[in-house]
Amino acid sequence: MRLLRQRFLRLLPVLLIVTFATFAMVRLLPGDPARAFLGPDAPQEQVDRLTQDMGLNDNAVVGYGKWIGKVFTGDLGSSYRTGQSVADALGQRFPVSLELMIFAQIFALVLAIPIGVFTAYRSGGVLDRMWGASAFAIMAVPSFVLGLLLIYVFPVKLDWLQISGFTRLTEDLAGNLRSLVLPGITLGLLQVAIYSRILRSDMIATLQEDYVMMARAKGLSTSRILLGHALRPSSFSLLTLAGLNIGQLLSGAVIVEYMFSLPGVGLLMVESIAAKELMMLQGAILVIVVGYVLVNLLVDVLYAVLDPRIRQAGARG
Amino acid sequence: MLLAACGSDDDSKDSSPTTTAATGASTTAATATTAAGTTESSAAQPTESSAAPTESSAAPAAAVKRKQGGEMTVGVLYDAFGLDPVKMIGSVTDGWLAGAAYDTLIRRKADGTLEPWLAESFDTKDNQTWTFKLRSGVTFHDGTPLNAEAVKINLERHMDPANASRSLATAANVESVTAVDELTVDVKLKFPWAAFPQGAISVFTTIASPKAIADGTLAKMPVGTGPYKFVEWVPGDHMTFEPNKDYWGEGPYLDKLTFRVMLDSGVRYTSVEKGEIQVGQSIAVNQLAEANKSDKIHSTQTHGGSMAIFPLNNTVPGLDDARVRQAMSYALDRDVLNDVGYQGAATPNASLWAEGAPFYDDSIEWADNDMAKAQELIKEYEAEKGELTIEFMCYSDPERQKIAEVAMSMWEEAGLTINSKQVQNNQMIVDTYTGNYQVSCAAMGSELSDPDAWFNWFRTGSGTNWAKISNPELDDLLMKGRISAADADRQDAYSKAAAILAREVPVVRTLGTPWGWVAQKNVIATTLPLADFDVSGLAYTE
Repeated sequence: MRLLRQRFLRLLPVLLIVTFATFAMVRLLPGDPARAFLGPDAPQEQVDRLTQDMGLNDNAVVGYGKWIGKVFTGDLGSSYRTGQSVADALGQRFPVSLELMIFAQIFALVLAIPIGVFTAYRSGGVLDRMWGASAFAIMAVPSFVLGLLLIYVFPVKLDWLQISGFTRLTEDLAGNLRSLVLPGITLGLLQVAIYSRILRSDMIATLQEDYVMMARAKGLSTSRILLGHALRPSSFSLLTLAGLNIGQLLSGAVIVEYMFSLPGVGLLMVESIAAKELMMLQGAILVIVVGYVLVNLLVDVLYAVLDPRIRQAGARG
Repeated sequence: MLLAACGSDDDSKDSSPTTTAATGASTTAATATTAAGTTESSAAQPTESSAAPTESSAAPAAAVKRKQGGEMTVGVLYDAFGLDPVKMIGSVTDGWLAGAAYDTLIRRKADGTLEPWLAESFDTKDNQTWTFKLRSGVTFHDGTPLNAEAVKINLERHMDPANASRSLATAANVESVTAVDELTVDVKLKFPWAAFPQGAISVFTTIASPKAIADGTLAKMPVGTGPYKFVEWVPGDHMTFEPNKDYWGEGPYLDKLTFRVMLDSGVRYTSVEKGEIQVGQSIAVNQLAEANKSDKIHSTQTHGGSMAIFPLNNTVPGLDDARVRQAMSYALDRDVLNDVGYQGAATPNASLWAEGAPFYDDSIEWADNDMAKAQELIKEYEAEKGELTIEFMCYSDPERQKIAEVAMSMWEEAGLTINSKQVQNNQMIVDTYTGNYQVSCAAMGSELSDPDAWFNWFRTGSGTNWAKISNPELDDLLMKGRISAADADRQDAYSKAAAILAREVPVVRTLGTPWGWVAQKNVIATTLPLADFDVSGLAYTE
């Protein structure tokens, strides 16, 4: 508990610093948002007036102060182009990215854990070496190539699944899952390779520990040893990576979102950068930063859950 | 391929999105963009419609029966930039979406001539005051009646600089709009302008409900007189329409029309093939030919699309010398550019108009493919003024880049030193407009337009005079071409103007870039010139 409180208190300053830094950096983006909105033919006074309205004449600190103040009241601003509130837009697009990320992570872990455990157990064997090569091959393929390949094979040749588009969870569960499969695999396959390799190397180290030899001497079954005794201590790197990946997959799935026409947060940020919709961009970044920080907190807590040594250290400290 | 830059007038078409958004075919900047479209000034007159044999144009369509009913999804390249006519940039996507909810006063027919659309007729006695008679009994989707007052409100909105309408350049030529009676509107221009109807098509005369204007809800919810009523817009994802049962014209035939944003051209194509969507907009040229071989889908391709050009900033040292500009045009082998960029599907052309354009004069010679001449001119220049280094700015669209690289190597062969600068599409458009460039890459108008379009592109002081050319003789000729009533006078003016343009080379023209879309075989979609789309006639075959 004390651990949690400590971590939580550190959240706030981190959030403030990161959001301020991104606010300032976003201001540095080339291009003039007012002019981007009004178009090249608009008279200069018009552009100047809009620049003032957009609050771009304030310096970064003042601007940030105003913005964060509004954020606390729940007002993230709105899009100049569509008039839609940033909160609404994020509310529409965030779940898409979230679902995609969850799907990709689950897909990755469901495959990576057994593969990692098995290749660690039978390390050096034929299957381990085959997987090692395959993993590197997978890591070498860019996501859009993989995506195109999957589109070609499944919907086009085999007539399974759909090419693009996103059906909301609220509309149709089956449709929702169907629209996530291909993009989820495109994103997740790379993670399968990475996670399995990480788990494998940690597990190989664990399997050499004395207590594992002791368990074997006691006559415990292989699966009991692998899953009950060796997996937990070997999972820290995997956990860290999966946690970090949550943020990465949320905001970095732009290419997959583009290819499969999924209206997610990554695409939103890219569109906002191009259209110079700074409010939208700030809002999206804020949500992702908050998400990232919370996930890190969660990962820390999970450490404590998985590793009694940390729990006790916390209690003592 | 997104052809950048917008012209002054309403008709704007973009070839492909590149703008905005990042990834994908275009660069990141490309797709997302909402901004940037290319604008055509002036309608094209007879624009040859298409090469696709299965295309249903006006005549055959009469033979094919349209089915009443069915739902259709159209995959579009960009999201709308806002559906308020004042905000619309007139890109192809805007055009398709707007065509669902709105009508314009005048429209182009499939053969390129103009027909009154929302207006029952339009006429003028002196080319200066244009009288539009509106159809009676037409109402907007919210029940407000269409009348002269409504049209007046709409046109004046574009004229008010406070609204920063993208059609301001056209609107600025209007002196006043008068509602003569319930259904008659007089538009008085500041000077006689024979080609006004061509310039006035599209966004400028897109008529929205005055009530929606007053309520300020237009940006989120378009309310017009069009064949379909707006249902919902999920920005970045899709826009849905339902039929307008009280539509004054033919159609609508569909029970539900959805426009889905699908950024990647390949994905649009495959989705049409698979039937996930029924129509795909802006398909890459090499895939259009494939489509016609398929038994499931057909495509259409229009020539006389956008003119791909390299604007030259005529005020920059070096580029202010006509020899250098001519050399840059002589140096380019446009067939090679065509092969590299479009697999030979575009039309190479060094001139700013083509056979089929009004007043076309084939006696004018334009600087084309003569490397020896180019080298000679550059040598002459450099002997006098020393070595010349030029900065070339283009946005990072793969097709554009390929062409740009070849062009750069040709210019270097001619003797120039070129520094290349890649910029984001939006930035490039702004820089091109503000003259903050040396050589840029863009697109303008159509080679089949009425040369009245040159008025905005090449006259001193015009907002879309990217080349910043200032030639008083040319200015006079263009003005004469615009305000003269007699065809003979206009011909004379434009022949002389073309001769000056051919000699001065303010911009280097390269290709005419083709447009195309694909649709399932059972979809009837009439292509109008300049890649416009007849939304009211969109239907399935019986």
